[in-house]
Parts: sequence; C-alpha cells; structure tokens
Amino acid sequence: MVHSVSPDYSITDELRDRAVGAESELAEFKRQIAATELIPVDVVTNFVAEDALLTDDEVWKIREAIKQFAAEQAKEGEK
Amino acid sequence: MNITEASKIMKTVALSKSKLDKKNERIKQLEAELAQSNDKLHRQNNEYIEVCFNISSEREVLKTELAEAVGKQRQSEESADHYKAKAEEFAKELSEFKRQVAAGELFTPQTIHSFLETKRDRWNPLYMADLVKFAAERQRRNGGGYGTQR
Repeated sequence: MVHSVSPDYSITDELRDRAVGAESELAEFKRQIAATELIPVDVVTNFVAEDALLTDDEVWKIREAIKQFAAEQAKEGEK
Repeated sequence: MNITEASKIMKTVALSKSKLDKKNERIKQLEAELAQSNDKLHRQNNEYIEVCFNISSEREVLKTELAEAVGKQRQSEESADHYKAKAEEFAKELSEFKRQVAAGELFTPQTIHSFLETKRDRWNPLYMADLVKFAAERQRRNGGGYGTQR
C-alpha cells in the first residue's frame, strides 16, 4: 500500500511524529513496569534472596536461569 | 520732412510691426510648447517619484517578508533539532527496554509463572502472588523507578 504524503509534511513533522511515537511506546513500557505487568529480573532475584535465605551464588544462578528462560520466551513471542 | 519721406517711414514702421507681430506670435507659440513640455516633464517626474516610492515600499515589504521567512526557518530548524533530540532520547531508552526484554532482564508475570512451573518440584508456584506484591511494593518504594541493576 502506498501512503501519500502531504507536500506540507516537513522533516520537522516527521521528526515530531517519530518522537511522539517513541514517547508513547516508552510510556507504555513504564506503565507496564509500574503496574507490574513487566517485572525486572532483579526484583525477582531480590525477592528470592530475601525470602529463601540463599547464598549470593545461588541467587546469581537463579537470576541467570530466569534471564535465560525469559529470553527464550521473548524469542518465542517474536515468532 | 516731405510726404514721400513720411510715407517711406510709415511703410518701414508697418513692416517692422508686422515682423514684430510675427515674432510675438512665434514667442507665444514657443511659450505654449514650453508649457506643454513642462507639464509633460512634471507628469513624468511625478510618475518617477511614484515608481520610486512603490519600489521603496515593495522593498520594505520584501524586507519584512524575508525577516519573517528567516524567523520561520530558524524556528523550524530549532523545532527539528528539538524533535530530533527527543526522538533520539526516547529511541535510546526504548531500545534499552527492548534489549532488556530480549535479554530476559524484563518480563511479564506470566513468564516467571511459567518458569516456576518448570521448577515445580523445587519451588512453590504460589510464590507468584507474593512476587507480584513484592514487585509492586518495590516499584512503589523506588518511586516508580524501573530498570535492572547492572
């Protein structure tokens, strides 16, 4: 599909639209994090560390395992 | 003076008068031409002054328009720079989020739930509710902060 661009659509307009688009996508990420719809891995490992009386090494291993699992899930989600 | 001489003089006077009348007529004619020429010159002069005035006015208008165009151009460039900087700033932050998601540093509660499911024999999946509560509390304590420690 060919999009027609208005002759009045300047570089400034394009940059503004790009900034607005990125800002809105970013705001959605931040909203999801604030609403715990997205969780940083450190929050999980801190939780595990505080709750399970694990050693630093064990916590690190859990962190890496979660990261690997989540990365695989993210990759799956992209397919 | 006899009659003949008087008649001669009168003839000469009449001739001179006739010549003088002709010259006077010619002078009047020339004066009329001069007046006409003066009028024409005056009109042309007025037209010239008007043209000069118009040129001067147009120049002022053009100067104003040019100043406005330069102002708009500068404003547009400043806006473009501003939006470009903002777009780059947001894109950078956004790409960091996307990197974190791709690297498994940031994920949904469903992901951790699935992870805990795979470790069912070792971890209690009921951690999930506590975990989300913990995450929410941590976000609140951080004043809405986000991101991972690196």
